[in-house]
Amino acid sequence: MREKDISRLLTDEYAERILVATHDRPRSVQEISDRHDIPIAACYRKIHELEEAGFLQCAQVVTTPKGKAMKLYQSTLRKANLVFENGTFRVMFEFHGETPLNGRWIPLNPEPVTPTP
Amino acid sequence: MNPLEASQLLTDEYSAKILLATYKRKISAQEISSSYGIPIAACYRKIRTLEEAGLIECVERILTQKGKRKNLYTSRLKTAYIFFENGKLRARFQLATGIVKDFGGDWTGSAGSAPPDVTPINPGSLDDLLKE
Repeated sequence: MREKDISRLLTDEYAERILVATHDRPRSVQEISDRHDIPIAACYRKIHELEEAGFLQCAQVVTTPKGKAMKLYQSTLRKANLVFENGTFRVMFEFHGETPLNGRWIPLNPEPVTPTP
Repeated sequence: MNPLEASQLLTDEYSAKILLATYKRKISAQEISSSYGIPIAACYRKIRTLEEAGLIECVERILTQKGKRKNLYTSRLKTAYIFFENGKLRARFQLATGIVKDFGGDWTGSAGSAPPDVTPINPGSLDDLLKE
């Protein structure tokens, strides 16, 4: 995953709520949507983006009383630090399990579209 | 403001850009909008929010050549830390005036080595979940 994508993924209202919601145990998309006031379609979309990026994983598939299969998602993130210092932003993640991103500081600085005078 | 709101105030795409644009510089809403590609209405709205939170301030009102008033903003945020650990989110903002604002968690340690909060994790019940 590219650093630019990480910044776009995390500067998002829903992503942060989803990651906080799924840290302690697996939860279904419906449950996350209900508890955290996230529109269901947006919730599915964001969860898929977070899963592709490796921040979430499907921990369990359960069968509901109606016989439908339901995926439960859990955050893979153990720790995240975001720091703003000397006019720059950087982030660092620690995941459960090994990933190339583990413990690395990643600069997150949106560049101006046009240079300011 | 809870830690999540504090964190989102900073990590919102437009807020982050405005904080960078106003860091050690006086700049107008119009200039921020065109330099960072923020729609002008959203830019004004976000500037208002950041101003209310005390993270930026209007330091000068100048008169343009066309005779219009233009506010120049500068960031008051010196450093910010947002830590997510053991499912707890906490945020610390340090303003240029020396004021420190903490949101959530335990900040008794130094910023880099604060002890992790030990919070019992509620395992919840799958049965409850399935009843919904």
